[in-house]
This record gives sequence, C-alpha cells and structure tokens, in this order.
Amino acid sequence: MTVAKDRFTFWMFALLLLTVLCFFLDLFVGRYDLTFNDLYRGLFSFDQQETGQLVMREFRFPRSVTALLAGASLSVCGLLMQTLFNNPLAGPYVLGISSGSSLFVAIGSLTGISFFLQDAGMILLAFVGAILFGGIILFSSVRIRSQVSLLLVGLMLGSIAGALITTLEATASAQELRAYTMWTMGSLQQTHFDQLALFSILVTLGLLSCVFLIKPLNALVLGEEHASLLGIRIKHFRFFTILITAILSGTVTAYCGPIAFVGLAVPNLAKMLFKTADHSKLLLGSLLIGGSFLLATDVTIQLLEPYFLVPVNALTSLIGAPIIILLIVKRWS
Amino acid sequence: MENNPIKIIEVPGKRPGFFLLNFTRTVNRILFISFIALLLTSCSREIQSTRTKKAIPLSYAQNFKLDSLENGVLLTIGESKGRIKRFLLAAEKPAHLINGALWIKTPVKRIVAFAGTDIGMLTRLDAAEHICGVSDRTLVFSSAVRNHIRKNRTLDFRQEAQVSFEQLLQCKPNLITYSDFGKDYPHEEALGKAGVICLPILDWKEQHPLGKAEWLKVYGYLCGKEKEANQAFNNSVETYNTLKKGISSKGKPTVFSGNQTGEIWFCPAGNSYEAKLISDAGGDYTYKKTKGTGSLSLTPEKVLTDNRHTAIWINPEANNIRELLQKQGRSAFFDAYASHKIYCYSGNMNKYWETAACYPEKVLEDLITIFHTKNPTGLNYYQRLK
Repeated sequence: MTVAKDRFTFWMFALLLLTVLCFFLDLFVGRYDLTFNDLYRGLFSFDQQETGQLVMREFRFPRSVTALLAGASLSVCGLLMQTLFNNPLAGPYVLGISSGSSLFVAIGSLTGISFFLQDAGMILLAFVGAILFGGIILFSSVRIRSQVSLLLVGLMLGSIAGALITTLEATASAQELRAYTMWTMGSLQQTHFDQLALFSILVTLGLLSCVFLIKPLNALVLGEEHASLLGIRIKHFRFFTILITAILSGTVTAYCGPIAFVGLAVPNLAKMLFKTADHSKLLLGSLLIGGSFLLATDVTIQLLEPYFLVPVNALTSLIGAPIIILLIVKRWS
Repeated sequence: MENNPIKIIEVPGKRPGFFLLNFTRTVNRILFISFIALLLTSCSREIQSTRTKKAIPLSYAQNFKLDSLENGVLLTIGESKGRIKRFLLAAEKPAHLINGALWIKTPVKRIVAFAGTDIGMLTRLDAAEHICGVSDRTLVFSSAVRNHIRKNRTLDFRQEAQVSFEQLLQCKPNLITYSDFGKDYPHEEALGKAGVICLPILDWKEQHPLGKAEWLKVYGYLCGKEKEANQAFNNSVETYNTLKKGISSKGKPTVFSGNQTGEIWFCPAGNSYEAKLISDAGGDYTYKKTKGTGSLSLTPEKVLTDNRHTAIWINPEANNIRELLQKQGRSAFFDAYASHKIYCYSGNMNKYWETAACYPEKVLEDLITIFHTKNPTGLNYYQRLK
C-alpha cells in the first residue's frame, strides 16, 4: 500500500513538473524571442506598442492556457466515458457531441452567412451544436437503460451529422469549404486573451465538478449491479457524467475545433502508469498528462513551424494513433 | 543408297528439310519487312506533319504552346515535366492526328465555361455568345453573359461539382473549358465519345501577370478571333510595360498581402503572380525572397511580427473594416490598420476573378495608384476598406 502510494506521489510530482515545464516551453518557444519581462508586462502592464508584449498577450499566453485546459478537459472526458461505457476505446466524442458542433459549424460556414465564418460565430455555433446533441444524449440516457444502446445512439447521431455535413459540402463554395476545413483541423490559436476568462471558467467548473463523480465512478468499475447495491443512483450518475462531458468537450470544441485522440489515448496512458482503478488518482493523472500532452504537441508544432505547419488535430492523431494500436495489440495478445 | 529413288541433297552444316525451313523464314522476313515498312510509312506521315510544324511565338505564358501546322493549329497544354494534353484546332477533321491530339473543330460554336477566367477572356474578345453554360450565375460578372442567362441562351449549372453527364449533354456543347488542378474533367472520356472536348485551362499557374493574359490567344484561336486576341494582348503588354516604367523612380512602400483562414495565414510566395504584380507596381513585398509560386502558409504570430510596421496591406478578403475585425480580430495591431491603408478587390469580387487575368494592366494601375498616391481614387478593382 505504501509502495503504491509512493509510486503515485512520485508520478504526480513528476507530471506536475512536466506540465509546468511544458507550459513555460510553450510560452517561450517560437519564431519571436520573448523574455519573462514580456510575460509579466504583457499580462500586468500591457503596452501595445511593444511587439514582445503584444505577441505574449495575444498569442503565446492564450495558446498555452488553451492547450493546458483543453488537454486536461478532453482527457478527463475520455476517462469519464471509458468508465461509463466500460470500454477503453471510448472517448469524449463517442457520444456525438463533437459531431453536433461540427454539424452546426458546417451549417453556419457552408451556407455562406458571413457572421458564422468568423471566430465568434463559429464558437457560438459549435457550442450550440454540442449542447443540442448533448441534450439528445442526455434525454436518451434517461429513457435507455443499456449502455451499449446509448453508445449506439451516439454513433448514429455522428452518422447523421456526417451525412448532413457531406450534403452541405457538396454545395459549398471554395471559400466556405476552406473555412470549414480549417476549423476541422483544430486550433489552439483561436482563443483571444479577452475570451480566455470565459473559457477558463467553463472548463475549471467542469473539471471541479468531476470531484463529485469519483465515488460513483469507482463503484461503477465493479459493474452497474454492484454499483446500485452500493447505493449509486445509476441514472442520476449517468445524467451528470454526460452533462459534464457535454459541457467540457463542447467548450473545447467551440474554442479549438475537434481535437482527436487526446481523450482516447491519455486516460489509457494514465491507467497504464498508475495501475489503479481509483478514479481520484486517474482523474488527477489524466488531467496532468492531458495538459502536458497538448502543451508538448504545441511545442512540437512551434518547433516544426519554420519548415511546415502541422495542424494540431493531425499531430495529436499522429502521436495518439500508435498508442491506441499498441493498446489494442497488448489487449488481444 | 544407289537404289533409293529420292536423292537427298546434303548441304554441309544444314539439317535435312532445310528448304522447307528456309521457305518459312523467308515468309516471316517478308512479313516483318512489310510491318516495318508500314510502321515507317505511318511515322513518316507524322514526321511530315511535324516537319511542317512552326511554333507560334509566345512572350510570357509558360503553360501552353501553339504550333502552326498545315491543317490547323496544335495547342499543347501543360508543363514539359507534367501532364501534357494536345489539341488540334482546325476547321476540318484531319486524316491523321499527331501525338494523340484531340481535334477541336474551329471556330467553336458552343462552350461551357467552367474556368471562371474563360468568361472574361471570351467577353473581351466579343465572343460571349459562344458561352452556352456557366457554373454559377451568381459568380458571373459579364453583363453579356448575364443577359444570355436571363434569356435562357446560356444555361446556369448552379454548381460545377454537381453537374451530371446528362445535364452537360443537354446543353449540346462542343467544348468544356475547366480549371485543371491535376485531375481530368469528370467523364472526360465519355464526353469525348459524345463529341464534347474538355479543355484544361492553366492560366492560374502562370507566374507573370501578362502570362495569364496571353491565354487570350488560346481563346482567339478557338473562336476564330486570333487577330483580335493578339491585338488585345499586345495592348495589355504595351500598357502594362508603360505603367511599370513610369514608377521606377518613385519610392518603394512596404507591402504585405494575404488573409487568415482558421489558424493559418495565406500569403503569396515570392515567385507568385501577386508578388510579381507588387514588385512591378513598385512595392516592397515582405515575402519577396521566399521560394514558390503558390501561397505561403504562415502562423498569425509570424505574420504579425513580420508586418506590424508594414505600410500597406492588400487582399485581406474582407468587404469592410467591421468584417475584417470580425474575421481577424488581431488585424487592429497592424500599422496599416491604424493608418487606414488596407485595400481589397472586394468592391466587386466577381469582376476581379473574372476579368483581372485578361486585364493585368488594370490591376497594375490600381496597385501603382495605391502604392504611390496619398488618396487613391478611380481604382478599377480595389477599394480602401472603410
């Protein structure tokens, strides 16, 4: 027991250190050389005429905070979904919440309404889509008892959204298609300094509310029946888990576009690392691994930038997909 | 041996039955020689055709070639290292077509214009009546073509990507002009069987603004208006070069061009058509030293740090300042924004995309006015964002 606790403490300390390191690396890696003075003054006594401060305040700081919070949120969502559906291959987007965002952004951007081609319009649409599809899933979760059936409803919602998007794409102009395609590539750069507060509040509230799910999550590992015997109200738990997932993944998708594989790969990494079913540890672990993973991804993007631009969604998939393959091979062998 | 009535003549070194074998060989040789003779005859016909080939000189265009033949004009489209397509433009179908060329009966009567710039070129040559189909009426600038659409003489296909084979045949075209982005036109082979030729247009690949305009010659030969096409092109060249010479002594303002979509800024590369126009108009383009003929993909951070103090910003793909700020909130950090020196061809996008290729001198004139006058007025395509 003490060995396990020491192991957890060691890893938590190491992960915390890694996250802080990645955060500062992300702040200071880039084409334009910045100093701590730019960071301090950019945040607390901003002078727009100073390019260093401007770059720090408008680009680097929002990007790093977004990467940290988005990575943490998606990983926690992934963990919630994997435990809820008792499936290591479930992720935050398995319920079709991301598909809802994609569909609404597609409706907005591919129908040529200029407001919806802009940042604010896309964020609004993505959020509305996520909440609407999340609502459908929530409603279904009350009516449907089987987890597998609920999973299927999520997948079907994704299919419907996909079909509608394809139909819209077929009639869209080149400019509209480009705007939509760029959105699907994901971005950590779209959150402006002014929008950071709202984004951070929504994500932090979502993450904090997960604390109330730790006990039922631990009970659910034993199976639904055992969890019920332990006094867990499964329907209520399911409702709140999906609600939190919808808020977290909806907010991230609204501000960053769809970011693949983080929610799928990181919880599995946390499970491999901590070798425990205790969700207090897994949640903390996923949160830190997810944050540092997306920060490290962004550092890689900045380092590669002089040679070529890699969309964040592509790089997370490039790193995440081999991890998933490894997991599947390990599981079946 | 002596009693044997048949005498077998022994030939040293040869097996019995030599004559029979020899006969077969002789027949084979005759057949082989006949085949070679036939091949040479057909080749010589081709050589004869190519011998009479005389290149029609081009000044700027890199993506097509014209050769005068006895029986017409050979149009070659494509780069030497890339895909090449050949077309013989002739009034009568020739007995032999060289190098797999396709015959286009000239003058072409009915053209489905899907390339965008084709409408501008044909209108400039006063040949808009030949256009029998367009991809989307809302994108058409030419008043003549819009008029034809209204009178149902020209068909509006609404969406080029969704055009079906049957729809195209219904229009009864002789030719379809389309922008070739590395792929053949859908159903090209089937359309060919129905007598419809698909002609790829590569004017978008030209690196010199006058190279784009030189494509007027292609349309000239297609519509039997080669003299008018040459005249129009020469006028453009003369005006363009006169305008260019006129600004050589003036100062060079710093300029950047481009716009942001998603997380990426798209700016013209150093050897692109736009970079050439900026340079010819006497502007000092930020990315003039970069390689490539297409677009550069840059991060917003790089574009802002490179261009914070650049004097003029062109082509931000916005109609007004409000739309620009909604699309790209960080635009306000550029000096060009503070000094109100942001210009775009957004006054009439259709006009720009349709006609700028065949009137490069007008685009150059706009840029010279923007770069070298305090209050630019009377612009052809551009407008200051307000």
